[in-house]
Amino acid sequence: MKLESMRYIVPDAFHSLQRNGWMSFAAITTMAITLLLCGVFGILLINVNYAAGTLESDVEIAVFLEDTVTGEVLTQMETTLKGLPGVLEVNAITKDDAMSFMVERYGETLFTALGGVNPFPDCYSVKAETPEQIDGLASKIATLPGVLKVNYGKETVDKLFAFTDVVRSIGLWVMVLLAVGAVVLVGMTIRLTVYARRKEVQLMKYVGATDWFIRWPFIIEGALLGMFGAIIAVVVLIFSYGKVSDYIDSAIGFFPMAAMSGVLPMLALYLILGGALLGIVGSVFSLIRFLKV
Amino acid sequence: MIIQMVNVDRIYKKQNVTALKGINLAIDKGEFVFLTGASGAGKSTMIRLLFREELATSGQVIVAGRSLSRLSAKETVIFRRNVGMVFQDSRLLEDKTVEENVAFAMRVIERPKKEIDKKVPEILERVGLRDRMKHFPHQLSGGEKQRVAVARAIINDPIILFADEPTGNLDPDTSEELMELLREINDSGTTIIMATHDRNLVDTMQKRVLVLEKGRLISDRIGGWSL
Repeated sequence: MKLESMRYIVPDAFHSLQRNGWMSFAAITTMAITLLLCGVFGILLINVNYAAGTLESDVEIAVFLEDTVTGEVLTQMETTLKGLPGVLEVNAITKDDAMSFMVERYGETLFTALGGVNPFPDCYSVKAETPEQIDGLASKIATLPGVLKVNYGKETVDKLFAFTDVVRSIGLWVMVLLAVGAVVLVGMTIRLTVYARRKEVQLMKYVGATDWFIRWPFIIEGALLGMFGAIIAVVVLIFSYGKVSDYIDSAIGFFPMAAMSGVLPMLALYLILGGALLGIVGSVFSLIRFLKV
Repeated sequence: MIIQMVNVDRIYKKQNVTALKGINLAIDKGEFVFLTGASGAGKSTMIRLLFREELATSGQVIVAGRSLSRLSAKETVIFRRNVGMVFQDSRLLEDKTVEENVAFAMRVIERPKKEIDKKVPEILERVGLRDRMKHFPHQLSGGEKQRVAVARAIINDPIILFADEPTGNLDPDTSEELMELLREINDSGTTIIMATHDRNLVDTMQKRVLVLEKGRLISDRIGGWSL
């Protein structure tokens, strides 16, 4: 196949897309939905990994104390924590600190609404020397008398992963089904093109065109169907990612979102390549069945 | 010798039809050969075997020294580039102009654009359709369409030109004009094998005539219609 022949093949492929308008539309739409879902899952996974990375490198453990721990025992607790191996720093956040922080943020009404009772426990923020020590340190602290609960990044990460595992396995099957649908629709579109161009194909054979020369236009048409679908998916993703990211930022501020500029170019490239690949698979299936060269 | 058929049978097993039986013949380079006989005598089958659209059930079809049944896919492509074919229905692409239809034959075997741009007008001049270049097939007469088909068949300089009833849809005058064109092409060295049942044409041309009857070759001689 010479590059020069593309001058004819590519316009021919576009012409075919027009000729089989509705079929092309159906194939492109299915392709777009499939790839859009792939994109959404891609973004979700990228962000979970990003969040996991951020949370995991967090070296702080929040240690909540039981209400019974007061006075001397409280002071002793701080000493015990400071004495543990691997502890870099211990900061006390008392019930009163916590309350005034919340009041500052949400106003006096909160205090009144709670009936004048401070529900927050005393708390220590323990910083470890390295992220690797967090696990051991946290479980050790959890066994100390008077400790109500410990909270640290990795725990959150584990919960996050458990959640995404479920989403991922459901999503994978949905995507596989949609991808099969997209491939079938591309195949049907290509079949129409083969039928519309059967005279031309016959003539090509008569004058000695190679089999690959005959196949190429159909494969390119399939790839175009896939790429158009991908472009639609990418455009939708670009428009919605900024909005969703802003929303998540304001709704759950602690969840770190990866920046759009870092995520989308790579994802867009993968989606377009993926779309082209699915399209090619569809047309190849169709050619095997309907184009005897 | 450019074409040789040795003990060729062609049996359509599904339909249980013997289309050709025990064909032996030799054709030299530069010959003009008519293939005649009633409908269903095996003319088209013979053309299809020589064009390698079908393979012989038994026996050998040898063209330019190569047995057609032994050609690989790649060699078949090369073979097709060296032979031309004209059908009764001209088989032009309706959505392409005369010029594009002829260029098509060069384009799909990937000849350089420069060569195509040079050769297409030349060949259309030769078949007398230079002024019809930008017309579409539906704007042409039957005779003109066949001339375009001939132009397309010879643009890659084939050594053999096959024609299956090329005058079948034409009136006598137009047929004669087309024959004149084929004669010219033959005079320039191209071997021509033409299937026809037009008695007048065969008589006028006084060329070699093969007569088929029920799949057998019953006559092979130079001159007019000899049934």
